[in-house]
Amino acid sequence: MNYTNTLISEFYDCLKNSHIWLILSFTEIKSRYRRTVIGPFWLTLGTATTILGMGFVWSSLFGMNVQDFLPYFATGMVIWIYIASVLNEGCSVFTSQAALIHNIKMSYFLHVMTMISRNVIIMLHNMLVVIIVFIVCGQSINLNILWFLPGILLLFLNSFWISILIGVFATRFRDVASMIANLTTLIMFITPVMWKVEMLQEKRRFIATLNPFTHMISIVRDPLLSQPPSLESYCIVIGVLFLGFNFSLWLYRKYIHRVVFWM
Amino acid sequence: MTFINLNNVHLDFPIYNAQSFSLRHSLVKAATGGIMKRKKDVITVSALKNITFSLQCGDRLGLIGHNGSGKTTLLKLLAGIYTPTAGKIQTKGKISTLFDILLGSQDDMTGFENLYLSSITRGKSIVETKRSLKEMANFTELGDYLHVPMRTYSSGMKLRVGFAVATEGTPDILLIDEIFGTGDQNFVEKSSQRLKDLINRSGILVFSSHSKELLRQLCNKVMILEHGEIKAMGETEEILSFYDANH
Repeated sequence: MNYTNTLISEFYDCLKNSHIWLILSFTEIKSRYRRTVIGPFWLTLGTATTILGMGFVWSSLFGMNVQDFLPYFATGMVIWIYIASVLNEGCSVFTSQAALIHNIKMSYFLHVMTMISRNVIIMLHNMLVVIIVFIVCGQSINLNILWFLPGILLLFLNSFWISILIGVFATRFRDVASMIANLTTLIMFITPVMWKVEMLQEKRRFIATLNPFTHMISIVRDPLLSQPPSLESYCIVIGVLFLGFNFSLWLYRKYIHRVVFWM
Repeated sequence: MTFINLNNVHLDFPIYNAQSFSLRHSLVKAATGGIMKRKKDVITVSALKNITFSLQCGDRLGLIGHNGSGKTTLLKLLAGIYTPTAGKIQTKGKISTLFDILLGSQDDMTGFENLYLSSITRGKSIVETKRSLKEMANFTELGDYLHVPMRTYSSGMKLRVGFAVATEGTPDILLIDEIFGTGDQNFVEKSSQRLKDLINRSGILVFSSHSKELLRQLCNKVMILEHGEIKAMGETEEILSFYDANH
């Protein structure tokens, strides 16, 4: 009980100091694109070229209309880019802040929030691509889009525990970072980012349905594409969130004090 | 009320080599049921042993001892960066650390932006930061150079920016790890005056140094650390003469 209270107060502290992680994450993005002409919009442009280029080829491979395929692919890709960055940057979420950790006592949650908010900012830049694709392809939207908000909130909450888990493991075991870097490409291809679950043979659908990333993407993407949210996906995402959070916080409580020695 | 209380504190430091960082190694260990324990992979250093002392508001404690005697480790423990392996530590009050003066500075940003960013990272609110920005800028005496990226600065100029931020504010507990004499002669005087002002404003000071001169000037108590243990602690003069007699 006592532990839960300290974690809650630590989390509250982290929210109260939100200006620190917001300023840190904005600074990192700004310094990455300093002295470039279009600045952070390189992110948008990079995503746009990937989506357009791949979209044209893959829509024809799948025998789909570009106009139908692009909105699906663009939304999936933007969400996937966020997930992939969290997985990869989660590995260095603590080691990249070694100087701060060795000098000032701060909640480790704060370093996680810096990384997550940076990727949320990047995602917002990428959302521009989605908006443009929607306009060009004439994608209609309806009231289901309201489900986007709880969907994206659940995605962000999930990325929080994932970052703690990966962050602690990758600091202790240096192989984890390379392992995850290798796995993310594979996960992207076995997750319905660019293909649809229905394209799989019936007996192989489990590849998608057992994959929690499928559902994390689905609860964010479906409402954007005017589809009602899937109850199954919501149940799975909330279940994963509950289990993941509990495990991560247990790990955090037990090992976070050691992280400074592992760096 | 500001205080520091340490009761029988121990700190063991695991030092990992490349092998024990690897997952494969841990997996092999798990698979062999822990028979293959290779203790030499993790070297445990007892960095601090049996540390018991307390400080009240107004105390100025100097730490003296050889390199590796545990001065920095003790400071980091007091800062809350390290958690003790055993024993109890209680501190009350806002802590400020002067370990790495150039903490969090980014070369691509201007001096001004760095003043702002470092002040935020050191825990000041946006309002506090904006209020003290001008004063910090004046202290650096860098003038228009503050609008130029830090990468064009000389190391002395960088230190001025870092120092201006690090010595801002009114901490309850101030922890300093050997930093004196930065920049040219004129600036050394100015910066030591600023540091003394900061110390006077702070509730408790813990300060590690090799310079007996500085310890005499700044501290009313001195602690001798040896191999991570307190060898002696007491009034400055008494302890320093004991230190001279034994070293």
